Amino acid sequence: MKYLLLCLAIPMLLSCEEVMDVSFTGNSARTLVVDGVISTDTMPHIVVLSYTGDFFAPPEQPMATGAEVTISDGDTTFLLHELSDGEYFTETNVYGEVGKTYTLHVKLDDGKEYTASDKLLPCGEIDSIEQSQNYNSYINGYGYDVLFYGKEPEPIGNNYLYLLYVNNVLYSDTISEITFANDEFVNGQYIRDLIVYRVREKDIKGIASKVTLEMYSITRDYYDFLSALMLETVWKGSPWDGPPASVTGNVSNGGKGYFRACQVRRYSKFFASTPRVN
Amino acid sequence: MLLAFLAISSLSFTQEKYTLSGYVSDEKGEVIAGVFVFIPNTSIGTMTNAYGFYSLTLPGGPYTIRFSFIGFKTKEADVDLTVSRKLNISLETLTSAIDAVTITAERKDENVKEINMSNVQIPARIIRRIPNLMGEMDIIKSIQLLPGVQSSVEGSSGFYVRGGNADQNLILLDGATVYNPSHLFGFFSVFNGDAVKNIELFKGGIPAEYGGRLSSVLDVRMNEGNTQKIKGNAGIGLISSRFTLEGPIIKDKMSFIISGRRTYADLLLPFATDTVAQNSTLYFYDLNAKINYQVNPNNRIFLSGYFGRDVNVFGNMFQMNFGNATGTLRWNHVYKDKLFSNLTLVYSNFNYDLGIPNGPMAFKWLSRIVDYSLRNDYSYYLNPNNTMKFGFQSTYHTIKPGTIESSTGSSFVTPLKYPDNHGIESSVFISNEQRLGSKLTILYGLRFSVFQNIGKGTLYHYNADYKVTDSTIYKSGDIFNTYTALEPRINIRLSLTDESSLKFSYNRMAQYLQLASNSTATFPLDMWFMTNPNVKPQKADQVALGYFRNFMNNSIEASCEMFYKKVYNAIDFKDHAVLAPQQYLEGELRIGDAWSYGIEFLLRKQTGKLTGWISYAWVRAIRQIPEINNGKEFPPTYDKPHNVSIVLNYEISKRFDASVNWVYSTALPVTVPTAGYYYGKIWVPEYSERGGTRIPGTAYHRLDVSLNYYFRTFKLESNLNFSIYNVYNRHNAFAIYFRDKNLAADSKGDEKGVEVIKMYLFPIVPAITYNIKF
Repeated sequence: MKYLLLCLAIPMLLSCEEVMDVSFTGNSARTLVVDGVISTDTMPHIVVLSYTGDFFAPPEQPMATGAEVTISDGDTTFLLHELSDGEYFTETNVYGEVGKTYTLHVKLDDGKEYTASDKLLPCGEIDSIEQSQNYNSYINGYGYDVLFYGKEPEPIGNNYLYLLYVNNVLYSDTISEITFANDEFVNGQYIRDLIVYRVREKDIKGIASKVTLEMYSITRDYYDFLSALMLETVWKGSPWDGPPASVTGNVSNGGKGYFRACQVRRYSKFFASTPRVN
Repeated sequence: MLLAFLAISSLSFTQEKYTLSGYVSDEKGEVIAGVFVFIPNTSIGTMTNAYGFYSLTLPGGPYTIRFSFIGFKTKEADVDLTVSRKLNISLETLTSAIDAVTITAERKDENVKEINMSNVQIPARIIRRIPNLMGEMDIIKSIQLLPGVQSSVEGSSGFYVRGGNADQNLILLDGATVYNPSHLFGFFSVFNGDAVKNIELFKGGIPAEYGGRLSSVLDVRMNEGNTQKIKGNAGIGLISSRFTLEGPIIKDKMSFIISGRRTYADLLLPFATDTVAQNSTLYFYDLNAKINYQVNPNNRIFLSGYFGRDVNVFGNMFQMNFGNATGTLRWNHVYKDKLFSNLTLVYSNFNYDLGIPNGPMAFKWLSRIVDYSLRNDYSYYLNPNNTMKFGFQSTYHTIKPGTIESSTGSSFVTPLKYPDNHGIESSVFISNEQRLGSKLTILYGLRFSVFQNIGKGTLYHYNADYKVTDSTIYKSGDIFNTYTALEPRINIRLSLTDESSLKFSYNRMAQYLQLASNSTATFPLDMWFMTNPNVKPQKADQVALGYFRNFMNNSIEASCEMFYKKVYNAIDFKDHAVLAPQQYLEGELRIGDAWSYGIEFLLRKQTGKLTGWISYAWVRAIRQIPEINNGKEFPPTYDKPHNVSIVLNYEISKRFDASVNWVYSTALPVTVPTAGYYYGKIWVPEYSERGGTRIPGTAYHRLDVSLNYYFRTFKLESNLNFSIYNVYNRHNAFAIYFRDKNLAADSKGDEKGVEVIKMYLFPIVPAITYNIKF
């Protein structure tokens, strides 16, 4: 998908953009938005609840406070506590298990109820990550590639989300910067030299910085959700855009957003701020 | 059926009759289609067919036969018909419109007298004068200027006829289907103007000999080559160079033409700021060739071919190549002067490959569609009142949706192959054009089409949620699904006066192949797919009513047509559909209804110093698909109700002519978000109604001008063409979208709010082209 988009980008060099001076009034009715995750880590897992707003007058994120929130694996139900406005956490000893289906249940203060279910799938392993030899030019300045090594497990149908941390701070901190992939063309292969992220030189502090790659197993449903989300936002504006459409997640009762379950793998490596090779 | 026709038509045989038949050609020896062959001051006459053949059966006696065609000097022949005989006629081209002024009393009333409606023929010499982007003569851009034919967005080679989708047009090059008519992402079309003789577009009232697409037929005929002497021409333009050579192999008997073109769009890339763009290759070429052999008066053989390719390499990162190839072998045979047979073998291939040329992710994705087709059709000139056509066609389609190869040994990409699809599309047809008195002519016909899915193939089974549950594999040669359709066609013409007529038409069409595309631009990776047990064939009914009137001694043609078209099993795609590469494409389809209606006005002048046309069309297209837009009606992305085209050419002197065209169309429908929400720090849009808004100030309009200067270079005929595209530099919207300000390239990431972005393609573009004939 990423490579398809690359090819789409080239003819765009021929096109120009201008901001139009028109105004619209949107719909300010409120609908629940879920952004939640349960992983195989033992930790407090977070579910963020907020509301929709008028598209043309984006408010500060309107948080959904005072909701009753639980996550259930069918046998056990974990209660979540609202520690700050709209942010609900599990207890610290909670962890997800591969193969189980997790269901989020939300009851808002107005009595409306929502559920969202996702299956926790197994994730392949990271053998290692490497810093690229080459010193490349990117849109936002020079930097290095983060190269991935590891076996992609059979059978076909695995989907992945990658997050990057530099010195333990989330580097890919907006959806527009994240990398996600499926195994359609690489099923069962040993993957080498795959560029999963790029780190700008100016973000490597001192002699070296700790770069951590997190790899999550995700469902095909979440992969499709992320693709649709990108098509409607970050990737918008290609000559081959399809008709615009709302992004559909897994929240019932007209709710937006996604609650996902995933296994997580990590690998860290120090990236040196060595002089450029070329 | 055939016998019934014959019986009805043979009632009036009383006097001994003889047949006058032959070919009409120009001075180069190329046959001319659509020439009126008639007895002056009577309604007796016929028209040459697509291969320049005519046949008139008349009672014995002396006749004056007139041969008339726009752009040529009219010729008369005195014939004493005492036996059936052959008469080949060569017409002389009017070299200049100034000559035409002296010839006015000719029959130029095809518009009123022809049985077909909703169809337009444009000779290449007219298209050549229409100003175009970067000076490239472009057939598809020219037909987009006709009423009822729309472009979606600027620069697209897709065209939309009477509210029908871009894949509902049957595009034929010498009888071979052209699956992708675009070069360079649609900015140019595949037809090289130097190789094309004539085009004919049917928007409705489609005769029974054509089928397989719902909305239109674009029939493009290639030049056959000069049978008299070696001739050539060459052109150098801003974006491409062209070269054509034609001439006799055996004088008067056998000729050839070869025409090539190559662009150098890559020359623009070094100006790009991006380093990848600077290291890229981006060009296309095409080659047309044809051999024409007149074995004897009763037998002619043609062999023609087209090969075109787009080559795009973006540094080491990405490459994509695509192109069409077609081949046509045709044998025309005349049996007993009255029966004309056309036997055609056709090969057509569209393929693309894309991939990454080097590195660990190196791969090559290949996809193609291949057709082999056999067609045999007959024209039977029974008598001046009845002309029958009948025949059959059978096409073997193979679609290879995709194969992935790891293109280098070090690549870790898994080789992969999606199952091929095979289908046989066959049809038989019969029609008769019958004159009932001097006022009324009826063309009635019936086409019976059959589509069969044939193994080796894999059929996927889907559940109610459009997810694959399992699949069935069929052995090679197994026919596992058959669809049939009866397609009646009727055209009626009623002459009101010598200069006016009323026409009505009805056609039913069936379509068994469609394109997986849901964007407005022409995308080279669009792939065709077949009907099968999961995808029912699309069918359409169209009725049209028209009034045709000529003014000023037939020098001005005017027409007004109304139509209504309904499409059954109309295919659309689900929200955020993944169309390519895609193994389970059928799961992305959503089926519903589509309909369109409108009215078209055309004023056209084909002779004199000033030529051209003015057209206005009002066309509405609507779709309704249960799973899209909450089941409510919505306009397709190309729906533009009001359309105006003005295309004028003025011959200032023998050395200069000037052209101007101006187009206007309503703003495209835009889907405007209403609500929004944050996910992953991004403001995500929520939509309520698809295509519900047309933003004021985004109507499309554009003015183009060109000037031709004719002179001699070393005694060779030459001309310089200066053109300006988009003279007043309007930033016409290519797309309009809504963006979180934080996603702008220059954003600091801390802005709140939404921007409405207009993307546009071409500002004012001047061009110069130099052409030389030898």
